[in-house]
Amino acid sequence: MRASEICEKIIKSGQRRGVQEIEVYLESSRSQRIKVFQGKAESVSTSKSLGVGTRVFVNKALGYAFTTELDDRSLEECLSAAFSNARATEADLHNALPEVEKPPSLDIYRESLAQTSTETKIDLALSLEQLAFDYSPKVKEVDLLIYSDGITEVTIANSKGFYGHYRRSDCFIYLHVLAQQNSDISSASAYAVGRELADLSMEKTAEEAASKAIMLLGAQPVRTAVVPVLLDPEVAAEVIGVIAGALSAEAVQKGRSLFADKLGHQIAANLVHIVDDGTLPEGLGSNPFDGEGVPKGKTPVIDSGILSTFLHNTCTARRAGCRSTGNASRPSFRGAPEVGISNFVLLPSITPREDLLGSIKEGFLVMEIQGVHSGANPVSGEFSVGAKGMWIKNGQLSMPVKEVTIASDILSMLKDIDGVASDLRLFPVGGSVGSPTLLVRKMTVAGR
Amino acid sequence: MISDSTTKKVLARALRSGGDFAEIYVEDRSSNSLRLEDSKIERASSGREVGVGIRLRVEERTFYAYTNDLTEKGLLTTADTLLAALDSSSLTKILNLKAKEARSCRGQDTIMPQEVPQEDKVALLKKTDQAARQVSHEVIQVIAWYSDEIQKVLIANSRGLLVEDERIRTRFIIYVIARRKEIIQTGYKPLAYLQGYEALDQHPPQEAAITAARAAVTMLDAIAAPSGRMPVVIAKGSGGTIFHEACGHGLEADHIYKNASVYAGKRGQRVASEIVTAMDDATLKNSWGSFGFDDEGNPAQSTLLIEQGILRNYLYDGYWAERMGERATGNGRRQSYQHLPIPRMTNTYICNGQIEPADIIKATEKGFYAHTLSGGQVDPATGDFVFGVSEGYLIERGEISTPVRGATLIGNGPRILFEIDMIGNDLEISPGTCGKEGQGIPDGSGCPTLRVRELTVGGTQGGI
Repeated sequence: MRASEICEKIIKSGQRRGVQEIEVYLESSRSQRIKVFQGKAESVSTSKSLGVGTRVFVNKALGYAFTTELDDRSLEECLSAAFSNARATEADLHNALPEVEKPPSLDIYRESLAQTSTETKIDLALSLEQLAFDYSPKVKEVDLLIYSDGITEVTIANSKGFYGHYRRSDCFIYLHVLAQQNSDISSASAYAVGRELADLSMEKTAEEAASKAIMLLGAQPVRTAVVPVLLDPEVAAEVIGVIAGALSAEAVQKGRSLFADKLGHQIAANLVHIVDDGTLPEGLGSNPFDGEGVPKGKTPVIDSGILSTFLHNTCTARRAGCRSTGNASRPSFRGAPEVGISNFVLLPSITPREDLLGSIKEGFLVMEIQGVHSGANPVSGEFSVGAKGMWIKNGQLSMPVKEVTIASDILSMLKDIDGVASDLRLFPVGGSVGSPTLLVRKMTVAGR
Repeated sequence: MISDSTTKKVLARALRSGGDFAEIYVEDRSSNSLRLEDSKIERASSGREVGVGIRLRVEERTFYAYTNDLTEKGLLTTADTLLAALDSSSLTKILNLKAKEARSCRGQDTIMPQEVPQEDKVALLKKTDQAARQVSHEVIQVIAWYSDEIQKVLIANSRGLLVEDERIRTRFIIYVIARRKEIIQTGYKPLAYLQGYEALDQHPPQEAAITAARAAVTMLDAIAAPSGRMPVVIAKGSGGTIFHEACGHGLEADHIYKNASVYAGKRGQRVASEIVTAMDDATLKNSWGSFGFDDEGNPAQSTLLIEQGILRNYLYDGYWAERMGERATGNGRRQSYQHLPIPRMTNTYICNGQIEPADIIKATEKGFYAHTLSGGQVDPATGDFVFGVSEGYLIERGEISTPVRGATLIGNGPRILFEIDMIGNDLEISPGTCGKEGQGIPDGSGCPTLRVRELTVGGTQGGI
């Protein structure tokens, strides 16, 4: 059965049952995942999957249900479950489908990925393993190396007449490297993402993981101190990702955001500009339209340190009396749309990273953080995570550091950003988040 | 779920071009959830997901394919995709399927969650919301999330194994936000059981809501956390995360084989102070990390990991057990039919000691009391771990004193196990979701109240 027929069938059946509004989300994907270890493909996983989710609006109350079974009976059962769920939830005047807009086209699919053979992908993964070993004899093991890809097709149709469809291709490669010197072991990882194999830079990825692991050999805790901290782009992106959650209008409207009363206020240093951009062709968070069919937008969230808008889906926008920013997020057919980021990017400056490093008399370059999901609280603003990296003395890297924490609170940290470098990179951390190297004026580094 | 004859045909098709082992994993999962926020039921969702994963092993390589198409034709086509990357000539005979062995956590007292009227669940969520709000006017938001699922799995393999397992799970999570002027604090309490709806009669969510609300309100008075090395008393329950992160992941056989664990080659050696005994136990009744059969069809078992400080065993799934010449310990688990099984923990805990918890506090002149941990992370290769403390206190003159916020504990797994110098007698296991290689699975981790002689606390303030 074609996607359009399934959508039409569900919408018609829902209307016969008396819904005011109904939406169907259909997702099909083909994917592969390959793990290699010691010159061999340890596992190759190939899949095809299909699922459909339906959202019904009954007297302004919302119900959701999904299924992977697409026969008529299962689809009717799914619709019945959605109805029964709508009876359990409370009416909210702001529950509604978006106004129909024609989605823009966006170049996020490469046929070449669909045509790439499993062997080619295995060879690529094996070549990355080899490059890591070739980097240095200190590289002792590549204990985890995963290649994965997916071709996903999404169709959304609703009773207001919206019908949108897109196809996207994504590929991803990750490696975790162990370096050894005498009895000391250190580890580091790196990854690359793209739309097709040619986007994945093997040399850079291998070098990044291997060089980082080797740099961290011999790392020791330092004495507790309050010092300037330089955050690598990946680390900065993880930190920025925590803030992203608190900038969702859903979090704000429900009293669980530390930015709730801060619209129009200076919440970060002047040099901080953050944009959520769902239209970047290379961004993993890009799609022509969001999880309920609204075109993805380009939203300036923080402009010269001033909080200019929150991120909205249709419901939160109606509640706030503004327009959806195209941030209805939907990780799969298993869930109804919530609010989420597209590509959440802290914009780069023209300052080279070396200049920021050179300006630090004594400080800490953070290359990896641990425990963000438990140590950073986007509601209270507390931030304390484990960190590894290099100590900085007189503008130069001096010695490797581990087993320390860096702590601050999110509001102070944003205001303490003293430098933004030019080396922007995007990472798939909790959505797609991008940042260049950042300099934070002071943080507590706790160690010995 | 699928017939024995289809099962056999699919296994035969998978092995058509050779291979050492083939397996079929069929899963049918139905779930329901309701979410309350702002004192209103805001979300209600239901789902049914049916899928099959087919695994083929050829020497040391594994091929896997999955699909939502359960027709015989769909399954055979899926089996064919396995062969695309195959160049083997070894031939394996498929043994006759044994008589099916079925297990279920369903008992006489089980109340099937899907048969409980939606109104009852809604009423319980509302009562929970009220209970939390009655704790204090400073409670400004309550999120309560109810969910249930029935997961049925059928596993058959070319060695003749044929088993079924039914897992009924009920979960209730409470998240409370309290505010005083500019200060916002949160409290969290999960209830999660391999059990039907009766779990919520035995462990009332209203009580959990009061616990979570009190934690949030208490933390409004908290001072910023100290930093530096100090004695740390870790409370029962969520403190088990410490063992889960600091040691448990490092005992998983894949890390051991790849020499990517500090515990590789240490069996029979001392890895902890002699008061430490630790288990992984998938047979604990009703516990969130339990099951009847693991996701490769091995029966749930209880495994002694550390006995009085000596490392006794690792956690094996079928693949690594065979490759390493060991016995599988029933630790092959997967998130769903979309994933390959890998060695995972079930319910992992440090066993009870002799001491009254209050005496541990009394014996500590100055230090840090980690009442609730919010989760953590470890690098098994180095043993370096970190975990967050969502509710912590200072210990002064042998008493629990001021609440502190924003603390993180950081250390090294092998070292911390040697530093444990007191263990209480109040073991409690708390539920969680453990992540590894992108697969999340239900797990339990626990410990009694225990003391670590010295551990780094990472806060924003100076030492104590």
